[in-house]
Amino acid sequence: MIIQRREFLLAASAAALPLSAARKTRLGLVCSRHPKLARTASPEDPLEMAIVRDMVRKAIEYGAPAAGSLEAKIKPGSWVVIKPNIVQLRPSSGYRTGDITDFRVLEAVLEYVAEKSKAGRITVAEGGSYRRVKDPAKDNHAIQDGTPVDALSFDWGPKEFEGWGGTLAGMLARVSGRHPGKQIDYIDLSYDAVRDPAGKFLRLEVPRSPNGIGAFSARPDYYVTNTIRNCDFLISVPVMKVHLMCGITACLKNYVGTAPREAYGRPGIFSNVDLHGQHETGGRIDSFIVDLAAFHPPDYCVVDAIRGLQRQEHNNHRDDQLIRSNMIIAGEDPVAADTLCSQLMGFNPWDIEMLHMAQRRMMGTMDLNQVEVVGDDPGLLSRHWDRPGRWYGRCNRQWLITANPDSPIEAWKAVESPEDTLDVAKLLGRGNQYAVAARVNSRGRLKGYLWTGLRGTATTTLNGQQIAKEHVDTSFRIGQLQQPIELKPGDNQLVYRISPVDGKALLSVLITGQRNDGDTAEGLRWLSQSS
Amino acid sequence: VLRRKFLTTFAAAPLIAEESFTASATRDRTPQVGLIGSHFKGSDEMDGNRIPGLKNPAALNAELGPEQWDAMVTKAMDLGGRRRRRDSIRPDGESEDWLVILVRSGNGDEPGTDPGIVNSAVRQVAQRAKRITIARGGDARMEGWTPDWRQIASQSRSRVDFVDLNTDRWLEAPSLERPFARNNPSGKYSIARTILECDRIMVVAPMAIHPELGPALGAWNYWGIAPGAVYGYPKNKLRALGGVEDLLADLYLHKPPTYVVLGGPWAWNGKKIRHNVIAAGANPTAVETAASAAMGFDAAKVGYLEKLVRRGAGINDIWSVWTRGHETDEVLRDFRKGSQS
Repeated sequence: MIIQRREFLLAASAAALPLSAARKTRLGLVCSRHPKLARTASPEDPLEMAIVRDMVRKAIEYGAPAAGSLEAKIKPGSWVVIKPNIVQLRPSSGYRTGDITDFRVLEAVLEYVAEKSKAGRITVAEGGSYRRVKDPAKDNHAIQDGTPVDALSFDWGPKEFEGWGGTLAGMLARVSGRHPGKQIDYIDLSYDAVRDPAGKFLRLEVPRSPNGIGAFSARPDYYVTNTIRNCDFLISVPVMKVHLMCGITACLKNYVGTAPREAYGRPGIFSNVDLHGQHETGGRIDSFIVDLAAFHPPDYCVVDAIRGLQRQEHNNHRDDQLIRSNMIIAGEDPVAADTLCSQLMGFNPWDIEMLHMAQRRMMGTMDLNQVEVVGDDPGLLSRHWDRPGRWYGRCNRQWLITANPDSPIEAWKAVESPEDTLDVAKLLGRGNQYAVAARVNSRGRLKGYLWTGLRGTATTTLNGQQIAKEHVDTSFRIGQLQQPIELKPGDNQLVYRISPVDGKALLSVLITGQRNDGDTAEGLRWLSQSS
Repeated sequence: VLRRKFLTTFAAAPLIAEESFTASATRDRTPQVGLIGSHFKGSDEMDGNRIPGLKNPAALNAELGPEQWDAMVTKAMDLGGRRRRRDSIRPDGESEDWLVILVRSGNGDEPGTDPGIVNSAVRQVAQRAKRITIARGGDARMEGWTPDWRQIASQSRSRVDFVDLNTDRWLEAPSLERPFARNNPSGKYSIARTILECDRIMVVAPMAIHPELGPALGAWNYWGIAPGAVYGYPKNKLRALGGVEDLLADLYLHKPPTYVVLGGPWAWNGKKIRHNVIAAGANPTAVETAASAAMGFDAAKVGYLEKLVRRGAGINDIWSVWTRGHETDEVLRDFRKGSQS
């Protein structure tokens, strides 16, 4: 009975989201072998443009927004921005196929919006790590046939995207020619920073969500672009792949390309190096991803899951990095779409920090029980993508802490850590000994591994049994100490008694499954200490 | 010299390629290996800068004093390049890292890692590690650390301790890479916890040959991370899981080193010989590649290196390695070739 009540509480807390109150979020998922396509192809085979176009249209049809259709959601005369991921061009050493959005998907989305909606202007907008042609700087230009090129003018040739060839400029001209009444153009977001009247870059504070959530980064003000701020309707069209620093990249991570490199780069470095320096939190980049998305959350998403990269987001020069899946995902909820993407790549969505943050900001739901996936069955299409080398999932955030370890646990203070690491000494002040506790619910008997990051001397007990005693006075590292454990079904209690070393007492805790690859074990949930 | 010209040409190649990228940050990403023979009298860098020679150069087969070896290790590590700060064993500034120096036990007449070379290496990294653990675990039970080793701890400004990996606490750790060993499809190995829990691993190994491997260099030290307490003495239970090359590659990939120092007073060519060469660098397979070349082996044909490269652990193409100090042919000695090479 206790377990059922817990599960009910967990489900209820996840369900307490405004989007899920009226109607389930709908996502379209279409694989190349989907039976309702005009022509199908094996998920392992290269695709023709006609099949990609059909897949995109079918996914958009299946992933209809609450308004009834994508075109119904776009108001007449509005400015629609389509944001692909074109972070690199082929001349870059870090590029390989699967790194950026498939241009066939981009063209199919552009065609769809131009043909079906009453948008007045449609802009393809992206800011990649290459300078625009007219930039007088000598560094970070992509060169083709001896001439500087950029996203608009780089000629991909006929092989990169099977059945598609040419340039982005050519694509825009082609679609524009078929829809002369619509303005169709391209904006390089790297050069589109909001400026003050004197022409200086202007920082803007992250808008608060309806439930009052502001910036997740310690620094709440960002350089952003005019296009993202001012457009009426934003469609995120990312490629689905693994990312070194946040696990997966899809709809939300696509917003890093909206940070203007003219403001966040440095002389000689045309990437968002200062975005990382100024806004990373606890070693994670999720905070600035969700903060950037808050300036204009996606109104719709179409995810290119045709080809993506495992282990890391750019070329790692290994033959087995490219994963072909031949899928398209579409829907209006970016959190649900990214949650589905993480599941399709074999991640535990719970481990993707940005999903928690975006859900807190009411951008959508990461509870797939609240999502209706229309089209193909994600359970049949999920597979294991290799993780980054030092991958770890989301550590526990719900703690009871005390500076008086002998006091009854009921008297300990409940805290929620915003990051993976709990700075016990900072929270409780100087002391000789602390104790912290965490509760974790397991759906069944679970054999896994306890990953502890520690600075200090700690004795660990699980359900009253001492399981470890460790001393660490060298660099703190999440997952440094690993040991096999067995959880009982239902609630389990972990207690750490910690003595600081050099005044520091740091702790992080994660429980992985049998694979011990850094993913939080399936069927396991950390429990709020106030529940 | 031809190889250097090739590297220079290769570096310039992107400038004239049809598709290329211009960057003002022109840091050369070619893996660098410091390669110093005892007769090193200075050389020119590819960019024309002069690298000064050793103070007391001596013949490649001469018996050297501790100061001469120290000078060689220092110079090789100075030239051996650095990786990104996050990965480097020699970053700028202080560090609180726990560094394990993985050494090799001798076997009969076959020399193990020389404690003098380790002592020199420790001096180089002492400021960058809060704790240094010297660890080994061969096929035989250990008899304890001799005074030669113990004096490293007394001479170092860092905290230095010693671990016998054969009797260390261990964890059954699954491989994150697809395993090579035929009889171990799950990739699970019992690994000494010192190896799993430390922040960085530096390997110090002599140059030697092995009947099944060809050149037995830094990677061969990884045989020691699988504890004898689990796999036996010798580690026959480990050998039952697959071929030695496969096992070595699997063990290595659990936690590859971040720095490698190869060479020492004695090399093993079926018998003890003097071959006064030190190779060092932050790209482990590149160091093994250069050292293999200095022993007359083609690293591209060395099985375990090929497996490591296949899993993305580095390169084994001598034409893509930038040796600083000596060229490989200047310190070449043909070691005996087994069936593997």
